[in-house]
Amino acid sequence: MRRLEDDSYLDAALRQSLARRPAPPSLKAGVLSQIRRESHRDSQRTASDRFSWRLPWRMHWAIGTCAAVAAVALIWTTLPLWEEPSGRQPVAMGSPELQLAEVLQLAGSKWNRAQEIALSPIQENGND
Amino acid sequence: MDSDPRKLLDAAIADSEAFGAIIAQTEGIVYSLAYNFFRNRAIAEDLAQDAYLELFRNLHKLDSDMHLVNWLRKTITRKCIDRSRRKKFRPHLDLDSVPEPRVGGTPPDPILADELQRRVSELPAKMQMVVVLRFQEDLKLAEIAHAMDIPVNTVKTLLRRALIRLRPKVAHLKTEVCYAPAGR
Repeated sequence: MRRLEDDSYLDAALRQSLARRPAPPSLKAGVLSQIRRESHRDSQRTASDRFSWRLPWRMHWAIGTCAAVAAVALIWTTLPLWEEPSGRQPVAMGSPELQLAEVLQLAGSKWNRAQEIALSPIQENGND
Repeated sequence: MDSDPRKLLDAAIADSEAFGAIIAQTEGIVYSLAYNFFRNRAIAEDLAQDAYLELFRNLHKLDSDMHLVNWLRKTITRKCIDRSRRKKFRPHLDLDSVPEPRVGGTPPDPILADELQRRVSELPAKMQMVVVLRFQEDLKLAEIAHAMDIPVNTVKTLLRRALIRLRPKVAHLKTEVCYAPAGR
């Protein structure tokens, strides 16, 4: 019987205690099944990625229709503005609106003249 | 020597079933490192599975088949230490504590083996991993340093301190120790 105080005995005892052990069969099976699951998931993801860039391409008819409708609506809304000048009749001379405008203009000019006359001596006195 | 240094790796990339051949060749190393560290079959199997899945995702990064074992040793070592840090593991006295059969070699004294394993598991995580890599895998100090990503001098210190701690704890056990190589 030998004591373990000597390091060589301790080394040998540790080598025996910590020797390799056979792995359980479930280890390999578990790893492989998980790899298969991951591969399957990856292939599904790849297929969905392919579909995701095809989707807009499949909807090009809808996008084209929307663009055409928008173009027609734009033309429809801008067209009356082009035709408006030709359709609009000039204001007839002597119409009430024109008379009122002339009266107001005349009244304004007379008022301005009256103000100038009324204020001119005061300004001269102020300057002196 | 095979002319293609990536024969196994390329086969495994092309066909996941070929990956089974890699597992069959290396599972003893990977599983035993985790088992000898935690003394728990479930945790060892869980960590070994993680290591193999990580290997499968990184097959294209490995240079040659020769790097496989080193890569696996390094990965399982890191996973064991990370796991022990994340949750302080306490070995249970259930079926997992029943000693597993060894791969060949002379069957050791079960009392001594159990006592030594228990004493090793009480060491700090890094010290414990140095002991496991040294006595399970028979690695040189430089190889242990590479597997654990620490300097060689640190490995030397950790191993010396581990043996100093273990010696008095197992000194009371008197036994005939056989020098036959165990499983290598």
